[in-house]
Amino acid sequence: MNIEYNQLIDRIVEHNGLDTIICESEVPDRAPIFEGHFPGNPIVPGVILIEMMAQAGGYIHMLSKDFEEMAYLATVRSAKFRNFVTPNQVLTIKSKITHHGGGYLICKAKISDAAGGVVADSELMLKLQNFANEKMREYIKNIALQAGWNGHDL
Amino acid sequence: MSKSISYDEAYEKITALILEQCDLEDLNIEKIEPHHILNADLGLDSVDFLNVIFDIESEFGISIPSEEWMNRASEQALNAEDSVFRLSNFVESVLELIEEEGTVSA
Repeated sequence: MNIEYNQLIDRIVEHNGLDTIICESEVPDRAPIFEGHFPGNPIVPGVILIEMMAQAGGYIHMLSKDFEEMAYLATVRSAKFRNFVTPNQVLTIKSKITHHGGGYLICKAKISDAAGGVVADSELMLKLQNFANEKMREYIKNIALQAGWNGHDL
Repeated sequence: MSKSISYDEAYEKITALILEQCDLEDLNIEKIEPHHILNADLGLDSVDFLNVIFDIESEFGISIPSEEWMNRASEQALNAEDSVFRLSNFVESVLELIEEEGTVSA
């Protein structure tokens, strides 16, 4: 997980090519954000966890459609944070698309810790829109390749 | 298996879902009325509208052709009597879909 570059998914573990995805991500030992959130008590901010779940949901769509469209976070319909997330934790992010239509999708997502305990869950709406340019599309696609996507549905 | 639902029941459930997306105080409206237009009177933008659509789909177990409805609305005058965005027409359209394919919980 590279918080400064907003790359919050390390590995795409499973994708059914349709509506679900499982990803993993490891919280870094050190990051500038922990200097303020909080001194002597580093905790990953809740907004980062929401973004992580949005990125997982976006990957479901982008991997299924070969990165034809980008998925932008449009609505946080609900979000709950059930436990603190701290440095060096390995997180599993599961997301499932529950609705799709009108250029939007809704996904339900969960983040679990290594012991399987849910640390956060959410229901998000993502807006699907063409990439602003090819440079952006290639950048996002390369991040997915680095995360283990092999260029085809996993 | 489909189950019938009255206009009043559907209206009540749908307005409750719309209320989750709009702020009547901001809009200076006391109560949602059947003649209200979803976007012009109730301030729903496309994201709000889709949120309402997805909530209705979950509530009634139906699939709404949201793109078609949005396209139709964009071709109609904002306050047209038959506008798909007029709440009374919107509820009627949802009711038609429920009768065709819905599974309304008792």
